[in-house]
Amino acid sequence: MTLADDVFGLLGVVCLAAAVLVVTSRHVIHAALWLVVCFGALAGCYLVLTAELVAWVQVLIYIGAVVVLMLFGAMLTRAPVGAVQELDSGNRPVAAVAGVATAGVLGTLVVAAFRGAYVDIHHTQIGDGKVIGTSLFRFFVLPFEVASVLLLAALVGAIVLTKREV
Amino acid sequence: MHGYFGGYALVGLLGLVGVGFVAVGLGANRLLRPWRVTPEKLLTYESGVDPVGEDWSQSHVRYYVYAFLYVVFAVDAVFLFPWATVFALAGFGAISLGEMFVFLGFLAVGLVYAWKKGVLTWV
Amino acid sequence: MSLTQSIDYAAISPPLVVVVTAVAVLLADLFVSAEVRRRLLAPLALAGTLGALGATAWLATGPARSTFCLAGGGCSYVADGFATYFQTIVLAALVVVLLLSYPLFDERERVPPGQVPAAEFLALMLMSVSGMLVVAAGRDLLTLLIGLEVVSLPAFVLVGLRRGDPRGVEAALKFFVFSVVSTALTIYGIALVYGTTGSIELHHIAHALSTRHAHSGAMSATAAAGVVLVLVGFGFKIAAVPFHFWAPDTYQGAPVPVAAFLSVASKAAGFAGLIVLLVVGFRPYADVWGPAVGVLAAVSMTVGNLVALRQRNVVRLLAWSTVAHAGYLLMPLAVASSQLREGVRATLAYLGIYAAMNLGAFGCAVLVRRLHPRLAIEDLRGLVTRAPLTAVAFGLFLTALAGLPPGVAGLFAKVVVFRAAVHGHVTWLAVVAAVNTVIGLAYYLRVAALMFVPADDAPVAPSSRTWSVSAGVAIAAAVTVVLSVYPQPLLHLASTAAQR
Repeated sequence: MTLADDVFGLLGVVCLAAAVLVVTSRHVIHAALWLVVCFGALAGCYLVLTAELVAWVQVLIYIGAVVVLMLFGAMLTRAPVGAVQELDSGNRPVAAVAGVATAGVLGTLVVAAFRGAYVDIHHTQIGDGKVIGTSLFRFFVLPFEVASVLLLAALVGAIVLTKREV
Repeated sequence: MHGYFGGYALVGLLGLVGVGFVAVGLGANRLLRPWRVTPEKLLTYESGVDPVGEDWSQSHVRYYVYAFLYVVFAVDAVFLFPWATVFALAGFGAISLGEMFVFLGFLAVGLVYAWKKGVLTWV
Repeated sequence: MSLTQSIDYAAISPPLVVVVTAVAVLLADLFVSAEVRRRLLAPLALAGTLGALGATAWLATGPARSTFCLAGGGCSYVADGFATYFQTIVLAALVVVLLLSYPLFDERERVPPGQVPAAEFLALMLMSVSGMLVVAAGRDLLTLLIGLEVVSLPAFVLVGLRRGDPRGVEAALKFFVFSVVSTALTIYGIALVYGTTGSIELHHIAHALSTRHAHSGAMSATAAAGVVLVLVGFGFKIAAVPFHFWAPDTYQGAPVPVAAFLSVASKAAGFAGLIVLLVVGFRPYADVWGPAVGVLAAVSMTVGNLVALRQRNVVRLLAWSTVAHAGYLLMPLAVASSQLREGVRATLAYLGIYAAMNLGAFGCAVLVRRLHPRLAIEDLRGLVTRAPLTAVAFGLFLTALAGLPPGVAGLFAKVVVFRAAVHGHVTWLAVVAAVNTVIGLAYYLRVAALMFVPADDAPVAPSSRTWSVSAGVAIAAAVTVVLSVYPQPLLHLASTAAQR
C-alpha cells in the first residue's frame, strides 16, 4: 500500500460518509453543505488518479455551480427547515433496503471483476488540459457540438420558465 | 517537491496547515474561555436591536438566473481550457478553431437571448 | 497531416438544418417587430422542418454516409437506412405537431395565462428534434447519451411552459425527476460497459463483449450489469413498465400537442437508441437482455391495458395506451438472436404506423378540448352530432390503435409484430400480446361507441382558430387510411432499414 493508496482510501471514506450525511440530514442547507464535502473529496480522488482536468472541472462545475444552484433554490422557495410530515412518504425502510441491495450487488460485481487490475500512477500520462483537448478534438467533436445545443436549450428554458411576464 | 504528486502534496499540506491553524486557534479559545449561557446571549445579533419576525425572507426568482448563467458559462469555460492548449498545435489547424467558434456561437445566441429578455439588468 | 475528424456536412444536414432553424426562430423573435413576428415564426419553423425532411429523403436515396470517424475505425454518426427511417418518422411527426400546436401559442408582447410563448416553444421543440435526429444516427455511447439528453431537456420545459398552469409545472417536475434518475443509472451502466470493454464505439464494444461473454466470470457479469443498466434510461424514454410512472401525469399536465410530441417523437427516439444499442452494440449479450426485454414487453402491455380500462380522462387514457403500445413495440426485440433482423423490421414497421395513429388520436383530443375543456370521456357522448368529422376521425384512430377495421393499418401492425414473435420462438409473448389486444378492445371500443351514441345537440361550427389542427388531423388520417390500404411501401422501407 503506497501513500497514494492510503490518501485515496481516506478521501473515499470521507466522500462516502458525506454522501450518507447528505441523504440522512434533516436540514436542506446542511445537506447541500455536506454535498460540498462529498464533491470536494471526489475531486481529491480524481487528483490522486492523475485525472487533473476532471478534478478541477468537478470543483468548478459541481461545487461552484451545482451546489450554488441548490442553495439558491433553497433561498428562493420555502424550503422547509427540519423534518416536515407532508414531505415524508414513509418509504424510508424500503428505500434503504433497495439502496443497500443495489450498492451491494454493484459493489460486489465491480470489486470481483477489477480486483486484479492495477495501474502504476507514477508512470501514466497525467490527464491535464492538453491530453483531454487532444482527444476531445480528435475523437469527440460531435458530442461536443451537440452539448452546445444542450446548453442553449437549458439557458432558454431556464429564462422562459422564470420570467414573470414574457 | 516536484512532479505531479509533489506539487499536489504541497498544496494539500498547505491546506491542512491552514485548516489546522484555524482549528487550533478556535479550539484553544473554546477550551480556555468560560461558558455561561443566558437566553439573551443566544439571540441572533442585529446591531443591538432585538430581532423580530422569522429568520427567512424570500428572494426574487430573477436572481436565480444569474446562478444559472454561471453554470452555463462555466461549462463553456471548461471546454475552452483544453481547447486553448491544443488549437495552435500542428495538425489541428483552422478546423478546431471553427468547431470552437460554432460552440461559442450557440452560447452567444443564448447570451443575446438573455440580454434581450432583460434578464441581465440587476433590478 | 490533419489530426482532426473529417466532417461530411451532407450526412449531418438534417440535424444541422433543424438546429439552424431553431436559432433563427429565437433570433427572429428578438430582433423583428411584433407585426412581422406574428406571421413569421411558425412558418419559419415549418419551413425548416420541411427542409430537413427533404435532406433526409435525399440521404435515404443515396448510399450510407458516415462522418465523425474515430482513428481505430468506427464512426460517431452514420446516416444509413436505419437512421433515415427514424429521422423521417420524427420529422413528419414534428410537422403534424407544429400544425396541432399553432392555436396554442400567442405572439403578443405579454402572453396571457393559458397560452404559451411562441418563439421559445418552437425553438425548444426544434432543438429537441435535433437531438432525436442525432440519436437515430449516433453509433457511439457518448453521442447517444448526449443526444438523449438534448431530446429530454427541452421536453421538460415544453411540458411546463403554459403560463399560470400549476398542473403543467407539476407534470414537468415529475418528468424531470424521473428522467434524471434514469439518466444517472444509464451513465453508471455506460461506465461499467466502458470499464469492461475499453471502448465507447458500438462495433468495438460488440467485439469486446463477445470475448467477455465467452469467458464467464466476474468480468462477464459486470458487463451484463452494465448492459442492463444502460437499458434503464431508454426504458424510461419509451415509457415501458416499470419506468412508466411519469407518463400519465406528464401527458395530462402538458398541453395536448406536447403530449402528442412526447408520445410519438420522443418514443421513436427512445426506440432508435434502444435498437441501435441492443442490436449493434450489445448483440453478444442477447441471451441476457432478450428475456429481460421480453418481460418488460409483457408487463408493459398488461399494466398499460389493465390500468387504461379504469381511466375517465381522454388524455390519460391515451397515455396508458401508449404504455401498452410500448409493450407491443418491444415484443419483436425479445426474439432469439437469429431472428433479430425480422424482429427489428417488425418494430420499425409498427413504429411508423403507430406514429400516424397516435398523432391522429391526440390531434382529435385537441379538437375535442375546444368543446369540452375537461376532456372527460363522458363528455364524448354523442360527439357525432356536435362535431361529426372529429368523431369519425377519432373513431378511425381508436379502431386503428385497437387493431380492428376500419383502422386496418393498426391490424397490419399487430399482425407484423405477432408474426415476428412467433417466428422468433417467443410464442408465450405472442399469447400475452393477443390477450392484451382483446383487453385493449374493451376501452378503445367503449370510447369509440360512446361518440356515436345519438344525442340532441346541434352541430358546432368549426372555429377559424383550429384550421391548422384540423389540417394536422387530416394528414394523420390520410396516412392511416393509405397504410390501411397499401402498407407495402412502409414494410419495404422497414425491411431495408433493418438490414445494417
